[in-house]
Amino acid sequence: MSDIVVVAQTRPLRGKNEAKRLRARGRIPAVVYAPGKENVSVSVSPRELAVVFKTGAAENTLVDLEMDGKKRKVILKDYQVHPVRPEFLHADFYEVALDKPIQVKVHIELQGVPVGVKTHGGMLEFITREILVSCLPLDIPKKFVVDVSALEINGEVRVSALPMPPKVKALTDGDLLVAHVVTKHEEEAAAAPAEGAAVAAEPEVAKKGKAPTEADAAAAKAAPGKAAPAAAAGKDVKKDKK
Amino acid sequence: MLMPKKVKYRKQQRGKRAGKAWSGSSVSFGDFGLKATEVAWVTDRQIEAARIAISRHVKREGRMWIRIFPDKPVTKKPQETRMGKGKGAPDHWVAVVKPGRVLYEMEGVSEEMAKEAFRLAAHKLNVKTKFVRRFEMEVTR
Repeated sequence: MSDIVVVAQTRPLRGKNEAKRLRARGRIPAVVYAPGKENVSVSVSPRELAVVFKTGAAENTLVDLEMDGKKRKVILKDYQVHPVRPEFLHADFYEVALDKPIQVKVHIELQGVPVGVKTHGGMLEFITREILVSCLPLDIPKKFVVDVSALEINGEVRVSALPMPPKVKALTDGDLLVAHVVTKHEEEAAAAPAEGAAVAAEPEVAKKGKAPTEADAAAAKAAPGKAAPAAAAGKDVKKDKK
Repeated sequence: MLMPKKVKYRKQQRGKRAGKAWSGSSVSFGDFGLKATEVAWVTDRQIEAARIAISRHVKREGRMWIRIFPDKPVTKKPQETRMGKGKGAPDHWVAVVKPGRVLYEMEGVSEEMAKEAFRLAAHKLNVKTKFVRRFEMEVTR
């Protein structure tokens, strides 16, 4: 696991306005926490944070957070990004003890083109993209690489088939589907008949009060003159005539 | 055309369009996505036209997700009607799209094919868009 150093400065001021000023200066707000310790508000450079993702292990990279001359071993527990621009807005660092196991999510990468896709015209569906594992911080795998090139149509890979290193324990259910090869969806054909029919149709309006029971329906059948005009529906019709 | 099966009220007020799409702004299901960069009301017809453009280009390859749903009714008064006399009848349905919202997602196709399919789809929409990848892929480029 590569050691990446991120320099953090403690920030005494908090709140959204201060965070905005910080971002305008080219830094982003972040927080460092650990079990049994006080949270520390810090600021970091987003450029240094982006380096964490370039290791291939994404959030699970062990980072040396340099703060007040001391280095802390942390992982990027969470992060926020801008909805339109690919910019970091905030980061959460979780300080880890190197001798205590932690639970992290590790990404799965599929390798190769399945036989079912190449020769039989199937489609590979990637269902589970990450799984939860428990291990020591130094043993966190970068990612799980699965070779799917041998998969035929209806062939599948489950969590139990992932190559698990000896010191890593999977916490996700072994029966969970990771990827499978299926025949192509008949999407176009299914959507076509709805086009003409749905133009004029209007959705049902949910009525207030309790839903009509079977007994009510029977009573309505027996005396159609009395029960037919529902008060709410009648009002709606009158309004529409305007 | 997409529309709700059941609604509580037939008509709605227009509402405000401020803010950004803080939820639904990341590629969650597929590998590639089409992201809105401005605010708009996208109609049911536009959503359907873009979907058809995508599926025709990829020729049923891969898998597609539509991440928006037109759940807002828009009313319209009949032609040559004087003002007043109440709100018009429901005419069509729209999805309120805010900047950052992922509109469509795809997987199982090459990046070039997804880019071209989304370019064709973007021409059917009334909102400026951009092509995006999963966040991890975006920052590692």
